[in-house]
Amino acid sequence: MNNIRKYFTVLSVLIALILISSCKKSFLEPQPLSFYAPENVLINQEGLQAVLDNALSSLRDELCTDQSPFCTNIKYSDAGVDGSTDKSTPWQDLINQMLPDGVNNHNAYTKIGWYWDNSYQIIKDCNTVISRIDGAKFTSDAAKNTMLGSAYFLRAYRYYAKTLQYGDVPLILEELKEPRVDFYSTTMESIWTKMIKDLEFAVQNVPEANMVNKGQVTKAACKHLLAKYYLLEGRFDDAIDLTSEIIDGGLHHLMTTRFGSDKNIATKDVIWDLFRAENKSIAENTEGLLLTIDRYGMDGNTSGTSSMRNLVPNYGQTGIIKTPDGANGMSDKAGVEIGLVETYGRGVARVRPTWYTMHSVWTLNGINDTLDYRHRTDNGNWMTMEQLVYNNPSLKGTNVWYGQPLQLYSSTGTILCLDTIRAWIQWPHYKIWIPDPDRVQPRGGPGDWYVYRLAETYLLRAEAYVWKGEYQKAADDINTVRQRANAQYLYTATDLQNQKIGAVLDERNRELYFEELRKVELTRIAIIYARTGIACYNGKTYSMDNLSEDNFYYDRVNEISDFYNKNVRTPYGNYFTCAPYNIFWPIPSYAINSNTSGVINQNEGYPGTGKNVTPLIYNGE
Amino acid sequence: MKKHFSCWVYAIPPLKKLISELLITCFIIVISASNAFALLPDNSSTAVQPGDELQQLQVTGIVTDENGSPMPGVNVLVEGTTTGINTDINGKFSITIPSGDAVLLFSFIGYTTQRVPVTGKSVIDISLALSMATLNEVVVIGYGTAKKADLTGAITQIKTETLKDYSPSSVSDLLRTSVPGLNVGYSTSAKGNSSLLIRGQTTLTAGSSPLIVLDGVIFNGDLSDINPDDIDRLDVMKDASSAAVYGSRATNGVIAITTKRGTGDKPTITFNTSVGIATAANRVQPYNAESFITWRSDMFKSVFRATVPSTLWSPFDDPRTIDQQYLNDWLAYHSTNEGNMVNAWLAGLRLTGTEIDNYNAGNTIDWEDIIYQNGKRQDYNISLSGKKNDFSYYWSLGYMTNEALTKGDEFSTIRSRINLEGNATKFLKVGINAQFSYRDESSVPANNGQYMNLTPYSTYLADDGITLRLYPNDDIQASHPLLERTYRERERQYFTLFPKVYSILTLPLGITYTMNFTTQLGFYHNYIHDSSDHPSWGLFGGSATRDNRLTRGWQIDNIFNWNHTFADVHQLDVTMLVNAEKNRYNSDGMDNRYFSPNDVLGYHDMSTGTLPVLSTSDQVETADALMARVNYGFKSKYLLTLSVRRDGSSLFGYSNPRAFFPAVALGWVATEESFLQSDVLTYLKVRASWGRNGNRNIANYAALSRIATGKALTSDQSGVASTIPTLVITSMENRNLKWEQTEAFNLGVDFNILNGLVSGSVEAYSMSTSDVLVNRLLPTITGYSRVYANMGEVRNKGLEISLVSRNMKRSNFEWNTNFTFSMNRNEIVSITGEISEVYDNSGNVIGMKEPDDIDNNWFIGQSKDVIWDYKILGTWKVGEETEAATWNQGPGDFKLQDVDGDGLLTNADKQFQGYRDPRFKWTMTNNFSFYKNFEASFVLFSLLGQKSEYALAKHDNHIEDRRNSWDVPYWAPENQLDDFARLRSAPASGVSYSAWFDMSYIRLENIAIAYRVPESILSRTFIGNMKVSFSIRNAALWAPKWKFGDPEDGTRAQRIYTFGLNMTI
Repeated sequence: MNNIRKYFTVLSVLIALILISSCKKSFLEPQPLSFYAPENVLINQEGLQAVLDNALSSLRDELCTDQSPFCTNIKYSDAGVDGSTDKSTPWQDLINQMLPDGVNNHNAYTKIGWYWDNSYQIIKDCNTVISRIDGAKFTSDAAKNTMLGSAYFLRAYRYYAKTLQYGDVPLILEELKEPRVDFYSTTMESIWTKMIKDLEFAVQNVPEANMVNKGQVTKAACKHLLAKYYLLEGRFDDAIDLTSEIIDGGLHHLMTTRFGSDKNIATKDVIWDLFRAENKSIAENTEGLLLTIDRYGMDGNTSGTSSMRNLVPNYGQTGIIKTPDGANGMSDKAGVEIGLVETYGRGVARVRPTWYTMHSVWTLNGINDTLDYRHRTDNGNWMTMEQLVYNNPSLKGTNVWYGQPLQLYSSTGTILCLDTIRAWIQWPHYKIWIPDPDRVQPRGGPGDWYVYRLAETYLLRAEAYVWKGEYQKAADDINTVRQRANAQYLYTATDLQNQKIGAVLDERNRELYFEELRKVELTRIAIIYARTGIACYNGKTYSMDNLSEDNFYYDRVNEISDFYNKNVRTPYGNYFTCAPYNIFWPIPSYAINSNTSGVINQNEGYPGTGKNVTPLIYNGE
Repeated sequence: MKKHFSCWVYAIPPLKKLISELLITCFIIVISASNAFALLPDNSSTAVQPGDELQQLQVTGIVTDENGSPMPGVNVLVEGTTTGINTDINGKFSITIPSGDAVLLFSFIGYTTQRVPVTGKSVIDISLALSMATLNEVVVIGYGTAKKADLTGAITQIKTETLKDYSPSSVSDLLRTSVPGLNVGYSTSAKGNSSLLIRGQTTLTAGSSPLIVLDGVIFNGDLSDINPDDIDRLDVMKDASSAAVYGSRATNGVIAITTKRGTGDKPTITFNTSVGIATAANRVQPYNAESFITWRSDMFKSVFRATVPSTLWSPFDDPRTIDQQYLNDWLAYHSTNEGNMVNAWLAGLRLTGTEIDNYNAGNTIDWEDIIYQNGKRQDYNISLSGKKNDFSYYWSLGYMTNEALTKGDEFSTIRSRINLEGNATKFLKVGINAQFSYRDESSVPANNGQYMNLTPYSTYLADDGITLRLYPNDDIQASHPLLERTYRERERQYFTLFPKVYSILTLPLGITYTMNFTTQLGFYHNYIHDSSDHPSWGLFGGSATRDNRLTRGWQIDNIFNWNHTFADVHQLDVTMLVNAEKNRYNSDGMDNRYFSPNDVLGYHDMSTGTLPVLSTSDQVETADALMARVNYGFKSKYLLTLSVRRDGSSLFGYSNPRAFFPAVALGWVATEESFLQSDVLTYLKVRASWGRNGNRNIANYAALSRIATGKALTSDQSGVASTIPTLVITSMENRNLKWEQTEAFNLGVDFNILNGLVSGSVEAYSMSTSDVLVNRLLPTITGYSRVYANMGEVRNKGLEISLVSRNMKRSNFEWNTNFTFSMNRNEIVSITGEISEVYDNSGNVIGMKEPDDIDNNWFIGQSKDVIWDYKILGTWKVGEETEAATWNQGPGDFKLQDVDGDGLLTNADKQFQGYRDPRFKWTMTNNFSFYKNFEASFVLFSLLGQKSEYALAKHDNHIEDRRNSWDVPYWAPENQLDDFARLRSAPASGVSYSAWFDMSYIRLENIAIAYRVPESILSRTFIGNMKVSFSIRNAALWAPKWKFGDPEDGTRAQRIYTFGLNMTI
């Protein structure tokens, strides 16, 4: 028995030790060590600023990536189309492809889904800042209001594009802390009302551009966006007041004289200087209202803007451009004797500009204005195919065309380019040339980019004057922008009276091609026409009642584009088509399907509208 | 006794209430049981029998087994009466018989019943012979072992000895063909690790690989750290009851690995070696120099067929071969002359300048020789083992080095194991099982992914004649396959140590207390230098990375076991466990680039780069467990297993760290019943089990809201940029996350007909998994795409059959066949549990249904692996142009079914079209032995009913005109196939879909012959045993409907020839 007692004593001590050590309550508590949780970082100014900076850096994703989402706003407008002709997937035949079930966020299809999915992620970031701002520590109330105003601005920036792309959408204004699947669409009009209210706060509280770092939200940017909302609402005088505040505020000026890195290169001009990556955020340059910052060789940069890849023609594909004697004419290989790829980059024409963008918009009163810096070919600001030369190294010494300028037709009239959609286009070299030292074939390296620029502010004010019928003032604002660019023809009040909004849209395309979200702005103007009933230059009036059947967006695209209106066919066999209801993009069916306890309305014209219910009207606060 | 227990219990004040209750309950049951049984008369010593005739005789004796060890529990019966007793613990019996001419029957499960006439003897000592060897095999049941005869669950055992002739090089090689219901994936890499899946997929997003238990301890390491040569046997626990003792992690089944230990007085040195060669098998290949041109020509005919007629002559035909009367037309089309025509033709086929030059010069490259090789394989193992008195030892050292088919796909490892066990005192046994491994995965393989892209008219070197050409045909679609291998220097090594030290304390009353303490240590480093000599890496001055990772973990198991037989007929085995574990992972990484002045120091000096980036990650994971199990057997005829386990884990730490997992199992050896005695059906056992197990196989911290850090840039007023931090909440938290639980029923039958002529077992199961861990889809509106949640239900049902037959047994020839069959059916019962309204096309509610998760391909009522896609009805034929044109299609394009006839292809047109996973799996092994010393065997392995997509059948890749492609059939007007589209086909209105092909196959998995050198020869040498073997793995394949090389891997599948030598000294 003694022995037994001994064993049990030993045993019980052992067990006791084990149980004490293993069953402490804290033993099973999770220990997150290497990542932040909301409770330990989103508690002060620094933490929330980092969230805001994440949201702000999304502007790079939108504007400066391969097949950047913003390109879709050019492709589905009067300014350009999708230029990929080597496959069937790109959305070109909008009637058959722009559908709720389609692949909507993919380089080979379209990126419109980015504006559905990713912009909600950015709205979530803004909502995180907005919802947590009262619980966080700030150095001052001013600092707090700056951040709140900045978050309001960015959220309003996202809802602006979203409502003008997708119409009525779910409105989320708070950080969500648990899964929710019970969303309903909210009317775009009531979303605008809310955004205007937020922006009015932002305009009061966000500092001027000279008080904040470049890349941060500025007071002028808030005013600029608010002016666009005012236009939507038909508040033209308010829009004129706001834009005038920016234009006359003394801080922002159009750049009219040579400056920056290349200012001593005599053949260049101020427009060239304005778009050099290294000039966009220097102190001298006050034209930018809002920028997004990206630099080569720095931690925190992107892999590049891909600006050349998106817009330069696909000239280097074997056999696509032939010499007049039938030989393969071009190479985009690096290191060849005539190194075109090092000078212009490798492009795949993700965006194919329309004839309007390349030719007709530059022809005023019958004259093709090649002195306009934005369309100047003698110094390479604007590039045409004829400025390139046959550079295929195999031609050297064997073919007389080596080194000779390209031509589209042979002397016998044979067309020498097998794919004029993708490989025979013009492009604004001054705007998209960004050095790309990490790539053998440059495609657009990291570089700063304008989000809003004062030139657009002038054109917004011009637009407001047009809506109001004050044509001389409108002409003056357009001409200010034109004079800076050395444009030869100046608009008269009569021109404006005749062309009305058409003149503004033309100048926007000259000044803001590959900068503005063309589709969004067209839709905005279409909505102003429909809400106000103002007569359009094409003689029509529009109404909100049948927007998806009859609208200015479709009429404009149909009037201008030489693709959608002619049902052009790509070498691959896709047709270009579009329909009036394409004014709004289809709500993705996955968004509707995963929202199991609520109803997100499908836009009229697309399959799946049967489940629609009356949208919510936001009237909170 | 009770007093002691009470003292013991109350002596531990800090016990948590639950634990103490559990322990007390168990102990009280034990104690009361022991007291109760102690009151019963002891049959073994004083058998009180009815009858009082004077002729009664007393017979005594001892029953031993084939090794001479006493056998307790043997049934001794007087034939024709009900008089009988069991032998006692020492195998002794004493029985009163009615008369001297009575006959005694000695019976025991698994042994041949012996009939012994007494004929006046008073002492009968007999030895019983095995009838069914397998029934006495010891099987691992988790925290203990049991005899197969006493099993109540579905456990399959594999003895590695039987697989030796195939020279297995990994644990998965051991498992692949042996166990019905265990699916082992194929690996074609040199390392050879494969995925493991027991029965069906029970979960939606959590992991589903089984738990590995190595020598009784949960093993979290890499399977390749275990040397297959060290393994004695593997036990695969498939049903809920057998796995339940591992509760929380047992949903996916358990594979228990037992390593070898020393036996036999004499020290034994074993030397096993194998050398082999891996060769290409069933590989799909790209177009060669000749067919490449034809293919391109056909491609352009297809692309331009609408605008360029190809009757009479085609501009894509070789101008030297077309009818000369059309030559002028041909030249005019290309606007060229006869001097330039070949170049113009090739440019029209989009050959690059380099390719045209090579074509003209007659230079071609066969990339096969540059990317692939015959892989050499070597495996050497030596071990020393033995047992001296109370001390057993086993030590091994193994070195293996394998090459796969892809050049530079190399793997080498050194593994060593020490298993020691000795008796410290009479009541204390101590031991250690330790495993060390070193793995080298440094080699940088050739990029075999480029094989398909590389064209035969490429150029190997750049213009400088030294550097590899970045794009051998000067198009970015095909990069040089040896770039990384040439310009990347890598050191990637793993060192792991996995020692278990244990002590077994023998306590009175047959109680043992075992304590295992196991540590796991892993050191990993991965250093990479990407040299600036590389044609594009030079642009950023080369780059280098150093990653170091340290894995530390400990586990402690305290196991109490009480094994006792009461009154000879009540066998009781009680096991209890207290366990805790903690694992930590720490990793540090650094990257740099733009090295200055140059990057020759590579990763050895990271500081000379100018863009340093740091990263670190630390993780901790803890768990604990309590478990109790009772095995009860009555006369080895009626068997019962009850177990309960409570688990806790930090993965669910906030709200639901703990969960209970109970299980029960019953067994009935029917042939023990007198009314079922039969000469035909020698043995029949029926088993049934039910249990609940858990799954915690999710990412650490999945329940927590997580903030990801990033970096962005800002600029000051003068334009000078600096880096700023960014934060983003990437996952929603779910503090209510809990264990996924699977409830499973298993019904099993073991049988043996005609004394082992045919034996086998059949298992049927049904499993239902609830609170499934789902990475749930959220509307992207929330700003999040997914959140981890417990929802939904998945069901699995299946059937497994395993048969062994002794086909022939002659003196010089023996032939046995093993056959296994399994099938599993999976069904998603529920995903979110939220029911919503279903509408018809005009918006009317027509019912309620739980919505499918289309994005994940999860459908209510369908299998997880179901294929939901547009249905290909074949191709449009020549003559169907008009109808095809309504879909913007033409002849040779796939015709997709528009189910609802609305003229659009939407989700409503997708259909269920079969399954991705095999519907049936079977294997058949035939073993032959002849002339005593020769053995031969072959294994057939078959998966049936699975489908896989093969994208190339659609021929819709738009960049094929810039590279090469696989040489597979395509539609052409003169060859109108139905399952392959025309070249550069395009789906109607840009929808995306897949072309599905049946992947069923039968593989001649292994053939082996072996020769055992006869003792008569060896007796004159120092060698004890010697065996040589030769085997071919993946010897042949029959896949009638799959046309793209090996169904498991069409580009890297290998056939391995191995020569093996096993020797014992």
